Amino acid sequence: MSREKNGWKCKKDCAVAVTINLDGEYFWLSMFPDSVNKPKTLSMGTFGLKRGLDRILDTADRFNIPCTFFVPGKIAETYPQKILEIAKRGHEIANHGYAHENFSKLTLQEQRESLIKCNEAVERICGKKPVGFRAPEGELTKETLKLLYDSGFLYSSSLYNDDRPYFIELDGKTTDLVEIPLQWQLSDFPYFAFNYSPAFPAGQGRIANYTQVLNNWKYEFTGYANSGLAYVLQLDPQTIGTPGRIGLLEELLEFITSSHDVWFCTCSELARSLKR
Amino acid sequence: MENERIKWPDDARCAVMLSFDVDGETTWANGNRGFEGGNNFIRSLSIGQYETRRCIRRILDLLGKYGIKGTFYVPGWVAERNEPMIREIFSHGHELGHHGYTHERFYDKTYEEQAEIIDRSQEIFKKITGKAATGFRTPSGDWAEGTPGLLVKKGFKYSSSMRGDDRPYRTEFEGQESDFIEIPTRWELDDYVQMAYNLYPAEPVGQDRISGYDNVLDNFIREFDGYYRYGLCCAFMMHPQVIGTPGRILLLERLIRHIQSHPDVWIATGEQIADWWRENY
Repeated sequence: MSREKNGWKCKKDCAVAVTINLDGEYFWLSMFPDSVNKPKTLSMGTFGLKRGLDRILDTADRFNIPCTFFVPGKIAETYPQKILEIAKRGHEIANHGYAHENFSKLTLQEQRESLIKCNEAVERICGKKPVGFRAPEGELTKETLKLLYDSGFLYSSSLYNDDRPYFIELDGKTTDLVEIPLQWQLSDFPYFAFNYSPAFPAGQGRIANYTQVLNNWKYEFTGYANSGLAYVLQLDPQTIGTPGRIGLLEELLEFITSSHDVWFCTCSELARSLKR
Repeated sequence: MENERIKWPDDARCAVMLSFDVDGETTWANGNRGFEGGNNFIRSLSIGQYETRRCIRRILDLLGKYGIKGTFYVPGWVAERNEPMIREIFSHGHELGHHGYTHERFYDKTYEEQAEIIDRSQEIFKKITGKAATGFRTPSGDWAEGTPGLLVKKGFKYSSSMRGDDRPYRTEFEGQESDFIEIPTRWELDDYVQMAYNLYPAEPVGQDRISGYDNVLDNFIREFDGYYRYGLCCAFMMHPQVIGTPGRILLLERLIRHIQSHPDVWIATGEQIADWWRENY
């Protein structure tokens, strides 16, 4: 196992970054713009801010884990008290676009504006500008990465091409912009997110079995710990924050903390641990 | 930071509502409409016919066995074709709720059309049982902007249509809380999205597999345990044509036994829960 690949040496058995996408109603609005007049569909998203978020914050407190929250600017503007509470409890707030846009469909100028508007909204509320970015659902382009680099971001957490952080190459040169890659199998919504009409997922696949999902997350963790990698969970309170699912996160964290000595870190801490 | 514990009757720790959408043939007939010659299809309708022929009986027997009052949301079209069934549900003390006339999507209807649908089914309930419904569950998809106001005007006391909470709340009109209570439910508490199936027309649209029963039961139990832990209102949304097969009714029985293994759970109808919420919150 290449424990020092890309110049990154893991502290402890492995790194664990619990990351939260606070998409709220914009998860649905960006996919189905006409749901703006569909209160039932939107209520799937508002549940995350109304109920799921507090359960995640309590779980993070209980295990003393710093998390990273990727927040669309519009969510920050709509729920400033919630964002302030997250920051006060010691978590990192990062950029997730302004209205959770599909970045591949924006011009370079529109992408820049989306980044700036989100940064400004977060800074107004918490007094601190985000240093990290995660592209909202949809796509991004090389242009997006260049824009992040030019705008002085520390890291992106948007791609799926590794299981440890690395320096992003742009125009054939390694930059100091870090990518903290994701894996679908370590997310909650591929397993659980559901709406009947408009249909999500597109084929209306069944909601996965809770215990088996927990098992997947445990399998992967064991693999990451064996090889000293960076386990990046990607969760959304509207999905993991139901009364029955928050227990899955608790059981996973109990499993992690009882079986290994791991470094729980925010994404910016993880990015800074990467040495040139 | 979980909110202060909710107070339920008799110091119960949480509330459970077992609700049943008795859609019968209506959803299948609506689905067939998009197909050439769909009005003459009979196979998909037969899935809905099975509900009133066999499944309702099993549900009523099971609820009777465990002393539970359920809430049945029945489209008027189904009610008027199954009068003895409606009378029996009513006479056993279960609640009958409004679910459109032919399970129409209210989002697509004008205000007048919605009013007509509401009145038509209420007349059918009154004719069969002498009592109009006080609760409403929006059929397929979303409701229209004016729907909640119309429901209040028509005398409804509550709705169980939304997805945005895990306890009842007062519906807001122009920022003002009203006496019109919402009892939200959740897709993860729904049997249909886990096990309903048809090949043609496709249900679900991507023709995923029928879920493993134990897996479904595991999810339901994990959710119930969470609602119990936090003291919330767990509104299961069942469909007799799905949960009322000889095998799946055993799944429901295991769920009920698990719920009733806790002595401090208030199992109530939608109307009871809404009344209680209005008086206390």
